[in-house]
Amino acid sequence: MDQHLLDVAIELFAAYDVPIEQCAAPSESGLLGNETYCMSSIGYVGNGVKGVLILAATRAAAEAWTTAAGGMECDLVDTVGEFSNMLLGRLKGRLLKEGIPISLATPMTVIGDGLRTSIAPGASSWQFFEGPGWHLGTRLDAAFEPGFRREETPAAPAEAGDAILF
Amino acid sequence: MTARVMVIDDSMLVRRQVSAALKTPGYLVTEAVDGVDALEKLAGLTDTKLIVCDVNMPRMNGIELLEKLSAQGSAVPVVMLTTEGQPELIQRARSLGAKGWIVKPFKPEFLVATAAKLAPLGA
Repeated sequence: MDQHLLDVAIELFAAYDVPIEQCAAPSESGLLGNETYCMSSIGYVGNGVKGVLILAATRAAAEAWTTAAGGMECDLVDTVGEFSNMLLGRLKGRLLKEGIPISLATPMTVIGDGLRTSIAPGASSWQFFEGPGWHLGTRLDAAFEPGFRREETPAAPAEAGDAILF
Repeated sequence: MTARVMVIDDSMLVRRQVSAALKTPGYLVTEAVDGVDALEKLAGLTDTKLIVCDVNMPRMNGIELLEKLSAQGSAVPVVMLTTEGQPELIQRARSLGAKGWIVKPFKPEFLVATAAKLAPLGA
């Protein structure tokens, strides 16, 4: 799941012509340090698995993403929430192909200075990325119940950018 | 002549993106933040020719809105615009009368082409 998260993060920002690269944690104090300005979380649940995706961004990141998405006047909270939504949506598509269907909640985003998170239960790891002049961090928490099994013959999902007319 | 499109999404960013894409060729765009807001606004608008609707929204999601519109006998075409791509969800929307499904992030030209097909300007 960590590899999928890495891949979809790079894919998502590439779709907006924003190159990002994986990097080490930018702050010794963890997360993005005092620069952590926006944080969005989305819960998810599947058959025998549940967890949360967290997306943390510096203010410069949120402003850059708003510009990349069209530059219209927009609340940074909304931008970070929508990017976390698209990130988990892409991850959902990959998990579905592996027989792990999940349902997503709606994002909850906060803004502040030096935001921090609680320790995650279950399997979890932060991944950090840097863009031009900014950083972001993502964390996927996943708790699998005993006896969890992938579903057989998973159907292929529609992909980001697909437009289907019935 | 123009045509009115309602865009329904709890994300202001997405509403602004859709509005910008559709206003360029000449559509009038009305925004709603979720299914409840959309139903209230649709009741007062008789000239809506197309609905572009997210799936995951608070209060009333896109599938629930499709159910309500279907029960009302609405003839306004609905296209879903969402991060979701699960085949069962797409089929559910189709069975409730949705005319299309677009997965975010969307290409503006695809959205405009979809609008032109379902709600042509000047029709």
